[in-house]
Amino acid sequence: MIRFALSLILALSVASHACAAGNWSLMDSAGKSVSLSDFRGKWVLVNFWATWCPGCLSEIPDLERLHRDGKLTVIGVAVSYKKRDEVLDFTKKQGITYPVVLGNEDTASRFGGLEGLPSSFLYSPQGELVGRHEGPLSGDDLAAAIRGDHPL
Amino acid sequence: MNRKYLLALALAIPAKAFACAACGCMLSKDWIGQEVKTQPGYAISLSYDFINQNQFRQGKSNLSLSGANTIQNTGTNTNPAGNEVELQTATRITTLGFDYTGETWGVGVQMPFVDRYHTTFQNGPANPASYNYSNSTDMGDLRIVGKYTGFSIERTSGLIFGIKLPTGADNVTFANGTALDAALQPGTGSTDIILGAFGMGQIGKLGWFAQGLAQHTLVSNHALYYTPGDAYSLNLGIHYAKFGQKVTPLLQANIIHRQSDSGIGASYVFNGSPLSGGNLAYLAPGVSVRLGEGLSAYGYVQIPVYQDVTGVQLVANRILSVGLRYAY
Repeated sequence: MIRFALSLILALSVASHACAAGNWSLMDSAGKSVSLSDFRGKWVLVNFWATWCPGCLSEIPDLERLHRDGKLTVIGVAVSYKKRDEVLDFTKKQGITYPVVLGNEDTASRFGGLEGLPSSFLYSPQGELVGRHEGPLSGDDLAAAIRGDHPL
Repeated sequence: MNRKYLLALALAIPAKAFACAACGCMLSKDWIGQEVKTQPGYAISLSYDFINQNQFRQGKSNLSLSGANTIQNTGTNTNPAGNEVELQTATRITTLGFDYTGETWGVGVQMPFVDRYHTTFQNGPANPASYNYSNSTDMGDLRIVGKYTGFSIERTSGLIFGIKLPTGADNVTFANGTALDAALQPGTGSTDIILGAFGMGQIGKLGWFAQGLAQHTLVSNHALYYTPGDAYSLNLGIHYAKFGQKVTPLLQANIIHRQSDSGIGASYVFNGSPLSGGNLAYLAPGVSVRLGEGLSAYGYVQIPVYQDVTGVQLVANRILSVGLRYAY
């Protein structure tokens, strides 16, 4: 019985890995589906953040500027929030125009889990994961990563 | 009720069995490695516990069948017909749970279904004709447990308060029609209060969890005034705390103190000594797997590391717990 249970859990675990970090599709706060394949030809940054995380808030202005400039598409994934409205009000007050996903641990799991917040994943225009970073990012860091000057 | 009256009644009812009422699954099901559910929402869970009590134990020592028989029938324990010696109690508990978590308050309902197979020599193994068994599948006792987590903005600590209702069957019989011991019934026939507290946090990449619970019978509606002993448990857990990790190794330590049951329906030997209660400690390694879309699975094996039981009881060498939880 114990062997059967452990085998079942292992099998379910292996099956669940079918959704790799490069094949994600997320639902943003407006109910619109956001998939990596929608952004072929563009640099994409998936940024996990929380309203209570100072490091997350410090990088938002740079992310917003790069998104507006069209240098990359930012997708914010808000986690560890109490209420949906808390995130929606915050994004409105901050003037965030990039798509924001209301995420949870399952969302983080699709990206392999997070060591801390903020955490960011950078995808090339070909849809390949080219870098991940834990901690705040500056606009210069991202511009250098896109140019290939140094890894994220 | 005085002791003399109690003994007189004990003579009038079938020979008393011994059962490890202190045993059983005391894992914290609230913390299965993902988190104590503090994000608002609902969760449905299904768990399965398998407890095979087939090892004789007296105090801190293991016993053989003949050793158990000797102890049960010596000194002041002597019974002309022979005292009962149980053989095995295999229990499978399937529990359906439903939880709601609000911003600072939450409530959960657990509905167990108990499948129990029990065998015994009602007058000891020296009287093979007294072999008897029961096989029952019935609803157990419903638990409704609330929690308050409003002490801090992180909601990393809380109070637990609840009630166990006498919804389970308490009239199961042996195959020969005699009444099964109260401690072996799917339901205890009692209304119990449950109080406790929990806290959790992080040390480096390890998440920790601590939960203390006490359970006390408020009212016993049992026909033989059976009253389960007060139970106190402390559950300590650690896990690797990466946020959103798919497979999480877990380890729990479960420490249980259970007082002896009371009332005429409780298990005693012929001289009136209790055969329930004790102090138990388990280590429970396990794993939880995030399956996506709010669904997760977990499995634990509870391994006893300390067992000091009152009188002679049947204990389990391993307890298996597996479950699924869907949060939405």
